[in-house]
Amino acid sequence: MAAKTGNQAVAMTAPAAKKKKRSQRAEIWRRFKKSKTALIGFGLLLLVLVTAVFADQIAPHSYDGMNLLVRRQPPSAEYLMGTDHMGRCVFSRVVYGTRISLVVGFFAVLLSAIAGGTIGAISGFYGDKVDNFIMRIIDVILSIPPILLAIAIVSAFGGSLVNVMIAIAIGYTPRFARVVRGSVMTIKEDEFVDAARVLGASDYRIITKHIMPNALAPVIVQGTLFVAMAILQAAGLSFIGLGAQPPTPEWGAMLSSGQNYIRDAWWMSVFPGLAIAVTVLSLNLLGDGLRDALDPRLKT
Amino acid sequence: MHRYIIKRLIYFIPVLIGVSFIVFTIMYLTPGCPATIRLGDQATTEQIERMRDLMGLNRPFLVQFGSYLWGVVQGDFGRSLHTNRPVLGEMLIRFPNTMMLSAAGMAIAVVIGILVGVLSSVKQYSFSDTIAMLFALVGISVPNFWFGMMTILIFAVWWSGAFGYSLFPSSGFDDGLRSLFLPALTLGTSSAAIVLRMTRSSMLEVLRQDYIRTARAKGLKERVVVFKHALKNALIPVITVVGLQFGFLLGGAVFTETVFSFPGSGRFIVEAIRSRDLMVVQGGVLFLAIAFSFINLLVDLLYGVIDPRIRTQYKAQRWNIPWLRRGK
Repeated sequence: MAAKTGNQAVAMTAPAAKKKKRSQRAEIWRRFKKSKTALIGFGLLLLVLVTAVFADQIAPHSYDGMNLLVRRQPPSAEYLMGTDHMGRCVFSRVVYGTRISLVVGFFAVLLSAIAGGTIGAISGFYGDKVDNFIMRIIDVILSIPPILLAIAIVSAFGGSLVNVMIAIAIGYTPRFARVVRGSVMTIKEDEFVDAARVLGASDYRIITKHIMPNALAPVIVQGTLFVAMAILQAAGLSFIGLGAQPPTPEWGAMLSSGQNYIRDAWWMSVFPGLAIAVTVLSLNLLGDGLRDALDPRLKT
Repeated sequence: MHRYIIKRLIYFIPVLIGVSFIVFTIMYLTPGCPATIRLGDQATTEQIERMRDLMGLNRPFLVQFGSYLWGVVQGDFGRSLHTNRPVLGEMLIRFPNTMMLSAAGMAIAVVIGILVGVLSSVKQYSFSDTIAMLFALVGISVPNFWFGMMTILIFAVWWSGAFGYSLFPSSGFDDGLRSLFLPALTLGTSSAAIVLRMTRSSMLEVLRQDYIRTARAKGLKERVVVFKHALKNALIPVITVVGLQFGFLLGGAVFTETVFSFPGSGRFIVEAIRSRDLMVVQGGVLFLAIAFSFINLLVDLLYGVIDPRIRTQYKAQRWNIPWLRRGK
């Protein structure tokens, strides 16, 4: 009888937990929806994502198709954002550039989230000397502005998008490590972690199955904001000649060539910059909205 | 206070060693042999090997780092591969210009950021607050090199097209303060946005405190409550952000100086990148990173001067007064 009651209790608690989990998600979504700016950010980001995915269908011309007869043409029905100094369609290049910027920003942050998350989790979980050692190294890396660190790395290993991604990831790894460390240090004191330990779970299992899922919220929020910053940095590196190489339609590289023709062909500089600004703005709006939705205490 | 200063100065030493270690490791891992780069492709294997010995490249990693660090301590940041001039000398010629630009950018950021931040917090959720927050969001979303190009387009190209003269020079540093305005505005805008956000959130927190209610209950004018009682207390975290931003402006100057052909250390590094002078790039980055750390140190020390709690904390430790320590 007792066993039956126990089974019934388990049977009752499973859907209840599921319902609670669902309602927690619903609560976050409800808070997120309340913020108009977050929704605008979400909408803008969706637009940018659609542009990146359907670039082949949206772009009217190829991104590297040169036609010197129509070079530096102002915006028209044929060339919506005009043409550049090589007669290439600026609109098509901006559309294809969406893919590059999103991929660089996303993967740089993903790499740093994985590396920084692992380092932060170890540091926060073991604490004491391990934490002290890791944090001192992190302090040193943080004492170099990320853009200078990226310049040093990419100039040494050669200008390419992969190197840009790695360089940006190295710069953000300590930042993620700090965020995760803080969360892990708080969560590891919770009772469910003690319960897992009493049940004989290994450190690895406790960190990966019990602590990390609960430490994800700040990582997601920071991740969104870091993608925005990574896109800005990647564009900056390409602007000074360290990132994408011609004829890759990277927004920063487009601005770099547009700078030489700013007096005669303003459209070469205006539109790629607007594309960066809209993408970064959408991620910042989304990041702010997510932060308020996931942790309303931080809302000001 | 002295204890605090000494402690912060001691912390500075491992940071300097660490920054040098990172830059050295990047140089060490760089593909290609520096001896070959120095001698050129025509050099024989014997000549390259002799040069490697001469440059100390055959020694163990840590020994090489030790001698590199010793060089850095003595002011040897390497020599240009093209001109053979010392990097430190070249950087020191240009660094005052970069500092001037950063200071001007910071001044713009502080004036706009704090003023708008205070107004925004006093009128929370109003139309002006929404506009201010929008400005803050756009400020941190726009790449500063693009913003610089747009200021050139508007104030130099379009303005001179419409009125026959340029409102501000778009390049160089020949026109004194007028030449400084557009680069400083470009550099300071994103920092203004960050200072604005910090001022607003810090002010909102302070304005909810009991002592503000007390000040209002005493019948003080709102202006006095906001600027004398609230802002003074809200400024402490803002000063930290301003200090950090000042350091970051040194990094941002790389782009701004490139856009405006401003003769600073950032543009010097970009020119070295374009001419593939790796020694100048690494030496320049190390120089700016040390400058950044040094500015952070100064901010920390200033923080100790401004925030009486830090002074009290260290005074308490020195004299070992339990009630004073508890009261910190």
